Amino acid sequence: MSTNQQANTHGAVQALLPWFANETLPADEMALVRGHLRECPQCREDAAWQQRLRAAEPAMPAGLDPERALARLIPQLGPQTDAQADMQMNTQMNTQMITQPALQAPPQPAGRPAPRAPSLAERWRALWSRGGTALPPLLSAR
Amino acid sequence: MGQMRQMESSARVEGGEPLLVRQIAAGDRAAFQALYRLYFPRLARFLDRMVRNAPLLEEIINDTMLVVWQKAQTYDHSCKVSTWIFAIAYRQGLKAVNLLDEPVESDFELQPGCASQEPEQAALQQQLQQDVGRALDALPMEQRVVVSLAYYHDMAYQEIAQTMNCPVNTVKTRMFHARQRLRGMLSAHMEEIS
Repeated sequence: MSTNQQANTHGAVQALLPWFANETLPADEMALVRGHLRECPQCREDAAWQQRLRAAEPAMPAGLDPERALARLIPQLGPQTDAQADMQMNTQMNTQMITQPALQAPPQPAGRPAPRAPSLAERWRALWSRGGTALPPLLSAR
Repeated sequence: MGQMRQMESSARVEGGEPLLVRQIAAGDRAAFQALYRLYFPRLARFLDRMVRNAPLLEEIINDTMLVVWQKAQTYDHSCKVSTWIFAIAYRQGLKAVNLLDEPVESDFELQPGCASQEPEQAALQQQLQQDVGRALDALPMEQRVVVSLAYYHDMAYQEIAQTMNCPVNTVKTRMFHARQRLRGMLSAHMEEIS
């Protein structure tokens, strides 16, 4: 392989290394990277560095609660028909392996339009006002 | 958080996400709740890197999943369910960033240093995670999103391009520049645990 070809391969492999690290490259590109890594210490070191970075994902912020958030969302889904309720019963039985006890949506009379979901800006305004914190400039200007 | 990771793992084992979306399209609330619980932790990790406003994360996740509920009939199987949902989350995250009207980048160098003296490996790892978080926050948002999706959500470059609605080469370029900047910011910290 000429020096130019080696440089081209090195550049191509450099661009592919993040996806070599997460093992999503197609077979031909995976083979290209593997072949190059055998002869390029710089790319080997870079690949190892990226694996360390992948292993150091920042922690999620504390205090998130999926069930609390889901309970707020359910009323926004709108009314449920009888057929949908039957289907829900079947799905609950079929997905017990991956679901926790399902939250019951509040009963809504058929035909009544679903309540309009408050916009993001409205909900944020409520959030800020509950916390007693000053509104962000963009929201308070409205 | 361990429970959330467990829920993510079981989702991958089950592999029934397209079926759940079909059921959701027919109005099945139990299927929706199952998909919601599977995706909550993944979306929280992704959106936290994007929006950096913890109190709003649940709201943005709910906005994302409400779109999933309303648009499930439009899912056409041309991409993975995860790519479809992350693309929705990315758009909702962009809306949130614009509403917040805050600078999306922070200055890694100006933030307080965290030279922990703890000798334990676990403490060093925790310190590194905090440093990685601060370094990611210093990146332009588009670069931060690409890094997050590639490193922490194991997405292929084509999937990231679909999620962000941009060319594959743009994804690769953003990742390349992001790596250079991260390397510059983190090289000293990374050597501590290598």
